Amino acid sequence: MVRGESAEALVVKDLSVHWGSRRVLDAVDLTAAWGELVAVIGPNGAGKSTLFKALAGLVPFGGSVVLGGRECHHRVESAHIAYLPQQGDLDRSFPITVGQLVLTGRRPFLRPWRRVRPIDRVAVERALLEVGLSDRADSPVGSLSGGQLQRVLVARALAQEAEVLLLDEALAGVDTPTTHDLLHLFRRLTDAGRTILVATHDLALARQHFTRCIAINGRVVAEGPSHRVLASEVLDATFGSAALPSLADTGV
Amino acid sequence: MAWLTGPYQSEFMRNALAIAVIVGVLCPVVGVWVVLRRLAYLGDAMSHATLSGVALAYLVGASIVAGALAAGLVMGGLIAVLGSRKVSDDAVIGVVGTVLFATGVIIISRSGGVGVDLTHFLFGQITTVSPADVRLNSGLAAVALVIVTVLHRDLLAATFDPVHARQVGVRVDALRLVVLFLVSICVVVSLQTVGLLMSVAMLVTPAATARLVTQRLGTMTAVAVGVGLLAAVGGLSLSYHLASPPGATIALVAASIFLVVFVVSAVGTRGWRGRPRTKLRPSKPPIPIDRRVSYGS
Repeated sequence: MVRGESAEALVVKDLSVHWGSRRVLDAVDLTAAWGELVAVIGPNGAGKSTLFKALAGLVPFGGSVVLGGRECHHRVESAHIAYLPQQGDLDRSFPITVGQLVLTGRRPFLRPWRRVRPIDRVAVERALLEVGLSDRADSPVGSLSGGQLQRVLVARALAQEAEVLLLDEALAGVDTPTTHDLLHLFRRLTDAGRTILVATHDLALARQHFTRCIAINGRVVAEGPSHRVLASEVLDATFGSAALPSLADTGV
Repeated sequence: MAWLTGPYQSEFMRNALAIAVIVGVLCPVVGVWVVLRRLAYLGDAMSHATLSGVALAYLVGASIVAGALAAGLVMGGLIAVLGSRKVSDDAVIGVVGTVLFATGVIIISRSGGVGVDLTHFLFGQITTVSPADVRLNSGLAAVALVIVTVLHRDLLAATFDPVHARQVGVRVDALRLVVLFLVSICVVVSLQTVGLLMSVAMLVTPAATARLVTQRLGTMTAVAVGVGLLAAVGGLSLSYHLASPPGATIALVAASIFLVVFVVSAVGTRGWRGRPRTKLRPSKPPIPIDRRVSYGS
């Protein structure tokens, strides 16, 4: 268990990421405590996905990332942090069942040539129970709604024994009741001590449901309590003046 | 019954049948991953590229199997090296595949007097299958089937969500080369029955047929093998009675099964007249918003 070794789940210092010669992220500093639900906001191309991919070990970076007290340089190598892709990146008609999908989260503990052990089956069942889909283990992924697929991806992260979850646009394109169901699930997971970062475009949602917020645009513009980060001067600096019309909607 | 058993009175047709069974099982099993990973074009190009290795091996008197596998690996390596952001994978596959195919054609044309062998490679030479060929091909097929079985969880993870698979430790790039190697083995095993040009038919058609009828991987593999066996054995028998080329007959039988399943599954979901089976519920009249002004005030 990673938790307990350190007060902070995630401490990022001076992180930078390059795509070829282009610097996508520069001098990013941020922290997240255990049990925090954090919104990551920023315009398209601000580097939200890149930040998540760097933290999940999918992209090499400069600087340092301390995950649960353990320091990683250049590349994170830990299954305790899970990246949940945007739903559009997945083929919904793919012939894979919910159970098979969640089982892929067991890969760090289950060598490819090994048979699936009882402990792995239990982990899959518990993960599905936790997201409220234990009766769907045998259903094809194609039969799920968008919200249910998001839950299954969370279950995969739980089967992976991830303590920090990075959700890329998890709340994009889902209806209001589903959004509230998912937020409820996120809050239950954070109450149990897990840390969740959600990249989102929805500023109203970030303000209402997230205690902490990080605004990025190639660098961290602001980090702190949502009501202070989502203030107009920060949003101006993050999005430029184009954000102003949407501010009226958020009631900021 | 006599129609079915008749062709197999002779020794060489029994050997041919054994190879057809091997092809009918192996190619669909590998083909499931070719179809799911959308690599049908790669399979086609690889089968063509194999000609260079086969021709070279034939010329220097080396093992044709080794030559074919080597050509597959060269193709895989070249695609990996030449692939870049600017040129898409399918373009690179087109270039590399034709270069290796053309090389094979030129080697054969220069070797003098073996022109007839070119057609054997391209369309199969089922009458020359020996017991040794059967043993070798079943060995190759066994290796490929073991690889697929051992790696099937990783293949599933890497094919459905390569980003997550990489994060949890699946060697996604190595797996890609493994799939290329498996396709190579399939081309080699199909060489004698259906030939290079038609080997992709057994790789893609049964798996594509299975994809039409199921959303489950296990069922898809089983259905693909069923279709593959039916096409390979049925096609071989049919070619004997019609005196038609076995490779082309097998490919057409496979395609006919695909077509029938396609039509049946399309009718199954849409009904004969092309209308959806499930009736739409009669729509309720819209709520007249402008008459609901007395909300709270």
